[in-house]
Amino acid sequence: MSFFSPESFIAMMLGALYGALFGSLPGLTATLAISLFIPIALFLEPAVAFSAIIGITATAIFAGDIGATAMRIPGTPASAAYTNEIHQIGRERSPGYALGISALSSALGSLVGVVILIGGSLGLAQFAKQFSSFEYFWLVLLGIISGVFASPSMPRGLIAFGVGMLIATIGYDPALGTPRFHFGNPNLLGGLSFIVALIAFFGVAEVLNNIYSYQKTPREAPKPSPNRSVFGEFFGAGGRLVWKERRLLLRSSLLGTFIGFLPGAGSDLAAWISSNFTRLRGGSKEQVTLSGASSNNAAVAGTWIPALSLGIPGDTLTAIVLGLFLTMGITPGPDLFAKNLGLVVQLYLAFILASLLMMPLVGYLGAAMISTLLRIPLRLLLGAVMGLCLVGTYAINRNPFDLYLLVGLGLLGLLMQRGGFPVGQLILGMVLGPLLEQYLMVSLIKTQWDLTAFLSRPVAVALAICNLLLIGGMLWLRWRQSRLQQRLDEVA
Amino acid sequence: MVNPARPFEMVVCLLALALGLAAWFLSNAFPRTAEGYLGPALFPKLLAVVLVLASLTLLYRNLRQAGLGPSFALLAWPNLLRIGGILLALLLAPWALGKLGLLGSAGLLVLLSCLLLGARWLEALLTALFMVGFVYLVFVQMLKVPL
Repeated sequence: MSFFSPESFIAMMLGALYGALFGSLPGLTATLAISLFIPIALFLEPAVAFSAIIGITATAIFAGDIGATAMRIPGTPASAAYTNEIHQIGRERSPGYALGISALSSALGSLVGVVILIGGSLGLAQFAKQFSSFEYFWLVLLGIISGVFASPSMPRGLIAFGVGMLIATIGYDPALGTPRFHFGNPNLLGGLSFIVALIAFFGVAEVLNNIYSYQKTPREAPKPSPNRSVFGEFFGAGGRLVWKERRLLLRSSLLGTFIGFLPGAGSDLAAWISSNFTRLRGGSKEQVTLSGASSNNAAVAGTWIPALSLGIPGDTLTAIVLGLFLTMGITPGPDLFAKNLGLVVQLYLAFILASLLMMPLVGYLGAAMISTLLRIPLRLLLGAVMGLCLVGTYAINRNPFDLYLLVGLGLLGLLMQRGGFPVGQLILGMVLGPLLEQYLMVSLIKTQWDLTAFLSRPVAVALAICNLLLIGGMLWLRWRQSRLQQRLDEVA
Repeated sequence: MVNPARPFEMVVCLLALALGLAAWFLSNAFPRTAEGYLGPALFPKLLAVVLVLASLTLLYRNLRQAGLGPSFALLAWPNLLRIGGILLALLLAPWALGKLGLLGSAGLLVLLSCLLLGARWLEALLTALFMVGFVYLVFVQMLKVPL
């Protein structure tokens, strides 16, 4: 089945609407949307499943702006970077105008990211054909280091990665096949199910986290939009502004794609850095919104570059998708381009279609139905999500043990979220941990434990230097971000 | 002002510390390679070192900043009880599966979760019925997955 069959198109459309619903409602996230969809995706044709996933990822990040515009509550962490600005635009002029700027710049930002994704991943996959276990070891380490630095603090990032990687050591070890940490339980011999862990950390933990901070006070009802046509404000006025600020849009999109490319950094960081730079240069509310929105959606495409070409996820969403790839028997990395080039090309085209069509369309629908969307009571949504977690977990293996696992990991996820530990890095750790161990052990075994062999090939040396540069660069970036924040606080 | 995330942060740090120590000692039992190197124990031991060092750093920072104050009084206990109720319902799900099947158990869980979140009986019941209908339509009718 092709990506352009009616089934795939409908799946993408439904995925986009589903992603927009989850992205727009505070408390529900893009990762939750994908996690709950995975058990369904496993039963679909790959083309249909990936169409829906691209639809979800294309809209869920953007739709975070819907909650931010209407209620000043960002639907996603990325939208938090410019919530004040987009909310003010919505109040001062109209929600249609605010969401027009956001949706159109998101669509164009995503398109810039996709163009770079096409060129970047093809080039990188070609280059990666020469890689051995040494180069892959340094690459995976690069992903882990950047993920640690993208965390709120280094010890928190290390704990999140450490716990994720330790969870992934349960079961047979990837290099020698020795069973580890199974405590005589046959359910643990094959390792913890990645899908169950996903549903626990992003489904159950998210619901429990919402319950913990839940208050029965009703939400502030969205204000009715002024007497302006939503269509005119969204496409007309919003489109004109985007065209006027095309240079800023391009700059922010390029920055976003680059940040998205760094494993572990993701769209949240892209939105914060990009909007802070625009703020610091004295940019208007519209410019800050445009730079943040274009940057975070460009980052979404950027995260797919290392995921497709090297099999290394750029963020939590791509980590989940890579897990799905592997479950379906498709191995990402250079081989993907040799064996499944058709699938890759269709993925690219689906991305372009999602950027050009789904984002503006869903954005427009969101602007038109903003009041209705945000009136769905959270208490009912959370209850329904809990039921979906149970169904999604049990439907995969029909194993009651998975439900106990769901409770344990869900509780761990709640503790980590409340304690300020990045749960996304934990999932990245679960994906990157076995890869790091495999490349480490294979390299050690084939060189008879000669550590100098890790620096015996030119590309491996270059990648080791990249690791050092990344550590230096990230420390500098952190220092610069804190300086920027201090200056912004002084201005405020 | 006392940080409300502190009790959770402390619990996670202690958990990470315990996990690190457990990983270190349990991996002593793994076989070594023919050359006498660590083998399957190497990676868990590396992770154990990372976890122990990171959790001790965070615990030290936390205690230095706030001491051993009564931060657990800051917890939202009524909401924690709700969470306990939902987790208990999930723990009982394997038992309910045998009696009610997956659809019935999922419907019951939705009903309980909505009620614990303060929903009215009727709206909780309607949400549970809607969810059961949705799951039946998607999994059974469209995907042909036997539930």
